[in-house]
Amino acid sequence: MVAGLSLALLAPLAVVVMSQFTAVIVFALFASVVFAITLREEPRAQIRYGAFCFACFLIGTVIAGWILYFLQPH
Amino acid sequence: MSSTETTPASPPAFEPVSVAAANALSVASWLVPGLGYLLLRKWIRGALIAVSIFAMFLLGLGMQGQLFAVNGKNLLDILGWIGDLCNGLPYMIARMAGGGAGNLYTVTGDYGSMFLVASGLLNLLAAADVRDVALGRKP
Repeated sequence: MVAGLSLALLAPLAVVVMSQFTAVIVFALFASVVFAITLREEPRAQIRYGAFCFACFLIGTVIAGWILYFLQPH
Repeated sequence: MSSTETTPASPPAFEPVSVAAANALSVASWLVPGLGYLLLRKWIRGALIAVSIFAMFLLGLGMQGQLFAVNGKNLLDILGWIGDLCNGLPYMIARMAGGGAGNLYTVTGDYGSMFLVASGLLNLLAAADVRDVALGRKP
């Protein structure tokens, strides 16, 4: 019964297709929210730290992407 | 007033609970992401954590990510399984429903697997934070 109910819950889950950069943005958004809530105490500090983490995720990804671009054999 | 005198600390929003109760809240937070904060009446934190963890988990499944099973042969599989298990009940329900089979032939399948593991590890971080909040170590 539990398995049937679970299947019914998961059935509408469509296949999600997103670009690599979109996946990075989504990942960075949710991870930054959790980091901000768990690693900072005051609301203002949480917002600042969340924005900082989000920016670090995106900038780090772009830098890593360019490094890999120049490292690949042409 | 002397310069060494300090102002009294602001009272906590709630009374800290016992260690056993804090551990129970932590386990509840592990099983259902965000539940620990909600039980502590931290509504906004609980809602944000629940939305973030559940969204990452469901997106991981939707991207055809793989839920790792117990496999004692490969260290990476074991680590992946531990990460997935940290999702708590969502992991168990998805496994029972046959979800998380994975798709090796799509790029998003690999991303999905990472989403699933990352959501579990973030849930573990939140569960540890719930314990600190419940014990009064953090506002």
